[in-house]
Amino acid sequence: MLNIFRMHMYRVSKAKSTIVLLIVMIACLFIRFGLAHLVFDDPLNLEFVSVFASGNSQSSALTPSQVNTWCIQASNSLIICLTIFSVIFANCDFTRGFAKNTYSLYKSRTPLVMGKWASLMTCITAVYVVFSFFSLAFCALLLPAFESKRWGEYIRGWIVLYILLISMMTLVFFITNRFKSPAGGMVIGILIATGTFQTVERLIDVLIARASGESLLDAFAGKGNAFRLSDYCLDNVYISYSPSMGTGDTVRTVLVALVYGGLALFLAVWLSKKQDVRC
Amino acid sequence: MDYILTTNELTKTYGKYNAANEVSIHVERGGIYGLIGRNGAGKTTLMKMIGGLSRPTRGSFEIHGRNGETTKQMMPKVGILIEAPGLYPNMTAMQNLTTKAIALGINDKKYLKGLLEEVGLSNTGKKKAKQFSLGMKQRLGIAMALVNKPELLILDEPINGLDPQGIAEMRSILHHLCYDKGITILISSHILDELAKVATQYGIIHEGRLLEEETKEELFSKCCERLELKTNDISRTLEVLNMMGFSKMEVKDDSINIYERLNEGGAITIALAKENIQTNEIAVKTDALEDYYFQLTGGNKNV
Repeated sequence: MLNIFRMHMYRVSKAKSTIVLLIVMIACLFIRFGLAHLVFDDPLNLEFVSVFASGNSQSSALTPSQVNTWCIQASNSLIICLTIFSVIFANCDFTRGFAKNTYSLYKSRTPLVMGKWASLMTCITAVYVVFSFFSLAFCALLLPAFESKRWGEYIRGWIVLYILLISMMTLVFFITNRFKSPAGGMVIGILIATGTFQTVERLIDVLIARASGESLLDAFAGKGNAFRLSDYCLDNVYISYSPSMGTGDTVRTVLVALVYGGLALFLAVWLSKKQDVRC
Repeated sequence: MDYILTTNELTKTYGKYNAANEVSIHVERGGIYGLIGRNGAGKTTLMKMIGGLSRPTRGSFEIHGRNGETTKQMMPKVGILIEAPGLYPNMTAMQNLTTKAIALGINDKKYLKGLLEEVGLSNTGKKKAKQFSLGMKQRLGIAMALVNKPELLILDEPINGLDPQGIAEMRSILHHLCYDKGITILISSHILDELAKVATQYGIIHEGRLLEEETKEELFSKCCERLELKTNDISRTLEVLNMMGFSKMEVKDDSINIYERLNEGGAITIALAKENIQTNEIAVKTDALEDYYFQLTGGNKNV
């Protein structure tokens, strides 16, 4: 497994796609923060971002955790770029036929899949760390109302979002590996990023709430006690996560991410044993 | 008989279609086994199963006498080049080799350079694989298959699409690997003439079934090889050949077919040149092998 991990890291180091990905994302950040710098000179606009990031209309300061929400969750560029990268990474050795060179040699396919997944996650981690660093740096330099305290909350949010991203990219990895289809993986990633699945999940929530006897208003507001499917859907959990959530909700968020990620990885390994290598 | 590879009724089914149907081949150690069959006959399917890329629907195979689950332990001793070589186009030849070497835990640049020299790619430098000719890609594919120091090399149509020079180079590489390095080769092709020049054992596969399995001697006793010679003066050429002691020959259309001492093509050319006779074409032909193949498969000449 370690050799496969090293092989993929070597491949990435020669492919330069990670560097291109980082440059594209940092360019997106430049544009985002450049615009923000122009807009946030007005306190009213700053309050708008504060509300957007945390739902809190009382504060006029921008905390690191709000920055986190604004830069990572609300910005589609990170998840779209990571999805594209994951799909290209997971599919590359199949489209190029290189998988034939490695799949024929190993007794078991488990180290082949696990090594590849581990190297993908290493790349994603590196991108996430660099992206977060630049986000914070831009905020500190460009946004006048940036409050450089409450780091504990920031780090907690940063870790939870990291787990959620890893889980989602594992799902993309599984879909791409299983169906050998770059389109499938990209569609899933983009649908998650644009919140398309959420509409369907919310609709199911409303139907469940109505079936449980709740009023239409409560069902739409999601106020009642009925089971809500969207609470256990990875995309919704990712979009609705906030560092200011209570411990119970944070634990649920992490558990949902771990279950989805673990299941996707298990299926990727298990199904690879049953699949022929098509190159 | 010392077999490096035997398959036991190996079968691969896609839906109701049998791509390989109870194929049992026996590959002798140290030789070149030629798998003959037209496109879609089941050659690649069989090789993919042996190479560990595809799971057999039924049947089994033995490598070095190991079968069942223990066959997997022998897979690192098998090198494969199936269909197009699996290369990263933006990497150089050395980088492609290094990538596979890392996967195998091999960290020996000198060894990898030696492999490139062996296949004639040592001077490609920083040229990327996407800029290689088809012949160069095939040779790099063979080098990739050799990284793990295999005892059995599986090559699926390695001469497909190559120009005559590329085919000759490939032939010389195969001879070197088999006779100098002792690697057993299982090679498939639908170009009978070329396979006839390298293989020592043959398996004829048609519509997923193995029709015949024979040694070179057995096969050529059923259908003979000949040296086909075309010159600008047939009558004087016959005189020269008579002087050289050739007796088993016949004139057919504008060429002379010689049925003995087939490896003396070079000597014939030199002798003719001394008599100022121009050699237009000289080649070992095995049309009779084709005829035999068509007779077996019941097909027409569209292989």
